Amino acid sequence: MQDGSATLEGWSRSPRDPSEVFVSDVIGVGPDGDYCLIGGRCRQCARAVFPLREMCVHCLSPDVDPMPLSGDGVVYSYTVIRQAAPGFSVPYVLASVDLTAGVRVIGQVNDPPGAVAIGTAVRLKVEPIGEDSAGRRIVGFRFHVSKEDHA
Amino acid sequence: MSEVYIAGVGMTPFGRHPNTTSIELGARAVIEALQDSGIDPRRVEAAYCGSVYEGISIGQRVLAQVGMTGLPVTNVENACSSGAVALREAFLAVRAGEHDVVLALGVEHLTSKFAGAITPDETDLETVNGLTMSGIYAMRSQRYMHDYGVDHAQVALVSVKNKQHAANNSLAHFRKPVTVEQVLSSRPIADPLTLLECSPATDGAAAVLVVSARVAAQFRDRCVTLAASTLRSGELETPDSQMSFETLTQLTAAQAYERAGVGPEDVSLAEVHDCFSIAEVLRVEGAGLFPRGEYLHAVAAGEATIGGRLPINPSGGLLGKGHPLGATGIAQVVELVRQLRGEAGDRQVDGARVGLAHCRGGKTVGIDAAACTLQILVK
Repeated sequence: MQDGSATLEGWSRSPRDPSEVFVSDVIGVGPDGDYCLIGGRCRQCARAVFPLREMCVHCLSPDVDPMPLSGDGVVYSYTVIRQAAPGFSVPYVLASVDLTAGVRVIGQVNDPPGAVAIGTAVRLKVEPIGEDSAGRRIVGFRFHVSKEDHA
Repeated sequence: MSEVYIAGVGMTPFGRHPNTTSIELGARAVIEALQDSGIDPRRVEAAYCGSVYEGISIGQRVLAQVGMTGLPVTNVENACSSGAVALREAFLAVRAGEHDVVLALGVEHLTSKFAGAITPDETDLETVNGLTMSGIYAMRSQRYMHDYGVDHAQVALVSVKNKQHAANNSLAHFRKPVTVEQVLSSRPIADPLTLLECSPATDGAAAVLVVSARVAAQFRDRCVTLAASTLRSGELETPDSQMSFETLTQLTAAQAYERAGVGPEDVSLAEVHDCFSIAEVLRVEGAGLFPRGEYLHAVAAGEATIGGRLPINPSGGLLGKGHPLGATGIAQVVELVRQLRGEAGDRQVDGARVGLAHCRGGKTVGIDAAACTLQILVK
């Protein structure tokens, strides 16, 4: 995956805009040109994986196709972080989310504490999450509480 | 395969040691373990040293301090299980017949390395997204409370119990008992976890001398049998994974019970990895020491307190005794050996015959832990 070999054909690890930088190598530009979280689906067992690895973590097949991960999920558990590692401003909401694609992903929730509970419907969005020391926009991902859940 | 014994144990006081280096701490633990065993230091054939943040060749640096050079030394990093894995390597070397006398030690001067929350590897995706170790256990606590219908005050009782145990341990970092109200009203760290539900940053070192049956025969009254020492790595996290039950602990324990020829019903006391209050619940239920979803009721009934049916963390655990990462797994076994020998003083567990030690640590993206270890000691 690191060498940009055939498994990521049609994908790019570089932001379209030089004033942007990806938060980590799990963000990429999909074949449709959109920024997305890079997951995968195994050709042998058809199960979804995140992150994309060299072999399928379920059946050990080497034939795993990259797959954009985005869209809907449900909060499996969550917390409000009030003491963080250096460089993070608190508080922020962190959740473990089961995406409908069939993977569990840990990430921050864009909404304030109180908007999230176990079972809350959320949507994963790849978006700017900050700025690095060189002034470039850092593109990462965040969960957003789905609108209908605000009611 | 031959039987394996622990012939000597030593540990420094756990706490803040601003004027002592990790090398000095390690050396003191090694000297105490050697003296405790009565075995000549020149008979030590190999050493394994666990640490997480101590840098290159900490084992050699500690052992040079006590004049032990030339022998094969292996440094072990396996997150919070580092010390326990160093002990397992010593166990395997003796069990395989390669060595008769092996030193296992663990050392960490954590207060000089960290301020704020400890995280998994800083380049890991989840760390980049703001995950901390306390955040992981906060999510597990939230889910456990949801799945088993218990409240925060019930979880907080684990901290109350362990700090009460630590009050009787002169080597513990914190020796002041706390009330459940104090736990709940202490500084919030990651909801629902508060400060008094989190193990502290601690400095300390611990060492044990692992010997073969041949050597144990000469030092029989000091020896306790190390009947099993098992290790597994973390499990894949999928939408089927449960945060409220530890399959990893269950599998690691099952292997240990089988090899030791004992079951959870035989265990007289256990030292388990209570890095956070909820962690103790997940450990003991995963290891089958208490039924799923019932441990907190047992804690409330006093069953897990010294004098109760099955004391858990009589040393005070990580919450009371402190958590110098690399030393933790060895220190748990130091406590068990002292308990099984009947040398635990004010915190002695009556009739202690079988002791269990559990460590579990780390996390990486998509995997629920780095390593999990289980040791079973028999009198």
